[in-house]
Amino acid sequence: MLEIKNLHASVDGKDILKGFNLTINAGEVHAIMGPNGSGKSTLASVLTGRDGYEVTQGEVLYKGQDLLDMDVSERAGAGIFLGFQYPVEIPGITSMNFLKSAVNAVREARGEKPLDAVSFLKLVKEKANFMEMPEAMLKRAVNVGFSGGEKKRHDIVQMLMLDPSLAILDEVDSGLDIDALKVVAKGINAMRGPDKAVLMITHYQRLLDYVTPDVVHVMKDGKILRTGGKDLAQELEKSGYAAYGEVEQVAS
Amino acid sequence: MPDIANDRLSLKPLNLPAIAGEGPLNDLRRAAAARFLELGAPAQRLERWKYTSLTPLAKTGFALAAPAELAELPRIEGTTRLVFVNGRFDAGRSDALPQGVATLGAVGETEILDLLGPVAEAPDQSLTALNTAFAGDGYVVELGAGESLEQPLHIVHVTGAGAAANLRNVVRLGGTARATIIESWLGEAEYWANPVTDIRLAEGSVLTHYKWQREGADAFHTALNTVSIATGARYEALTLATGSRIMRQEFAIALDGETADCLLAGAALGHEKQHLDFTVTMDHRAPNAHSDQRFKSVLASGARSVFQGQVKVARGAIGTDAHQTSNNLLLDRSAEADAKPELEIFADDVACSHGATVGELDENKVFYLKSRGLSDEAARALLVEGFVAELFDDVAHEAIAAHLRDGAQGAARRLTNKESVI
Repeated sequence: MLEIKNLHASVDGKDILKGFNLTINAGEVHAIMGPNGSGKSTLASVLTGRDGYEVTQGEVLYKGQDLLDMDVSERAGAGIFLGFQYPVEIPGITSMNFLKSAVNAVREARGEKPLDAVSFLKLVKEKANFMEMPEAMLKRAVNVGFSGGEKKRHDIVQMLMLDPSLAILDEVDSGLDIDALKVVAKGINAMRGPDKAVLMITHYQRLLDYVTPDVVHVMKDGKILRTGGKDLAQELEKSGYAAYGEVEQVAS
Repeated sequence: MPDIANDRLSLKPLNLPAIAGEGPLNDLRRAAAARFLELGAPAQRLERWKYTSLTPLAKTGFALAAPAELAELPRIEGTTRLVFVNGRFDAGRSDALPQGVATLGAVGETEILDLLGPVAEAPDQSLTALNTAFAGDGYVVELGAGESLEQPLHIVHVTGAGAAANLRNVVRLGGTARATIIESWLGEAEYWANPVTDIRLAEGSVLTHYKWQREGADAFHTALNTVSIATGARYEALTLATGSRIMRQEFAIALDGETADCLLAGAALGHEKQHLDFTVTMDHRAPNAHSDQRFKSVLASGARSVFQGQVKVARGAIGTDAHQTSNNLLLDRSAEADAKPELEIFADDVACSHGATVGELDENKVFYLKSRGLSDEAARALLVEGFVAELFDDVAHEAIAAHLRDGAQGAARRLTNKESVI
């Protein structure tokens, strides 16, 4: 599904990723954890296609295609979903209108016909109910006046509607209370499937209590330092990142 | 080059017919025509016209009537449609007039005199004088105390090549009366629409007034709304301007009674040679009145917008609450937005504010939409639409809200279309 080979990337001339390697197969859920400054957010930005990052070496293949050569919209069309730490607000556009534009854009990229109004409504109601979002919220402007938890749930509604093959979720658990975290986790678990994959990038272990990863990686200084099963996350929870050179990290 | 004298442009090519005949109406019209000829059209040396040049208008010839090509006329569900072609009422294309609604061309001479009578102090007299001289038609809404229009009026104006259409619309609402009007302005050719709408709202009455000016890229549109608002009455206006080469939409609002309320909103979406000007005089004459002005523009490839918002607070108008904002979005560096607030305050204990912003599309938002599959162009169009459509949040009539949103969406796509010919 996703192959990252010897990836080097820099920001403003400063090397951040220094030979990053990762392979995710279909059906797997991976978590990348790491202390602040480990390069997690740069990795997320390179994978999502944000401006301001220069890839100096290496390659990223998604289903065998060169991911870095794809425009952001193309990545979405090809079946990649990006979950953001800070979903943006879009005044004046209702969530319903936005979801419809997004779903039909992705369908078009897959060579499918746009959804008719009835099927769209059915789909949106089903996913919103699953994510415990009142339908009335979908008639409001995108993320405007939403709480942190509502924004994240809204993002996951989008993910479920777009039905991607690969979800890359960057700090999707930040700013969530425990109830919202459980709902978001339920949405991510719904993504599991033999032909799907999830990559969660997170500082904290608590999301992993609800979405059990198949593989956990610890990242440090632009590289993967250690790879293990779900127990690795629990170990980190106890010992912190101190063993990985981070000083005085207060996990609160 | 047009002649310039006394800060005025002379509209030589405008072939004004002589006004013959006896009687007070002809006298009024003759006097107005003479006044217009004496004054000419306003030139940029006048403070209020600093940002808007009518020179292209002065170079174009107009006749007072010319055939209009009738495109498909819009219809909004749940409204009563009145159609005006070249400034003349077209009964055949209109619905039956409801109680309280008439057309200026159909009222008797005495009443016309009354209706054309002094327009509440128009800030610039000459275009209004031209209108007074030649206005032959327009909509007239007169509701008695406590009356309401059952459904909104949809006024459709279609103008044809070479025409100069002077419409005079009149709205008189009695105490606590209520009405909603939406105007659509269409026409693909080079012509000049110069409507004047004179509105008087008695105690506690409410007029909601929408307008979508969607005329072709060669049209000229100079419009004036004069509004007098009595105690406890409210005027709510929302104007969407997506068309015409030069538009000047002027509001002269007098808050004449205590707790009078005025909410003015407008959005201009222009590209290429379009010049779209909203100019407002908000005159607080009585205590404890409230006014709010929210204007936006989105401009691409050389277009220009103007917002001039004047707030006057008279001596004694204590407790005035007056606000205005002008938010402008430039899609490229060749566009220009001018915003000029002007406050003249002669009373104590007032709350007045103004603010203006000029910015570009937030690339972070573009990125977010693209990450959901939208193309770069579709993402930008949706953000422009949202920027404007925010003004429509309070439009209560669903079909009207949808109509305006369609207008904003179409213009947003046109402005962000990279294929469009520049």
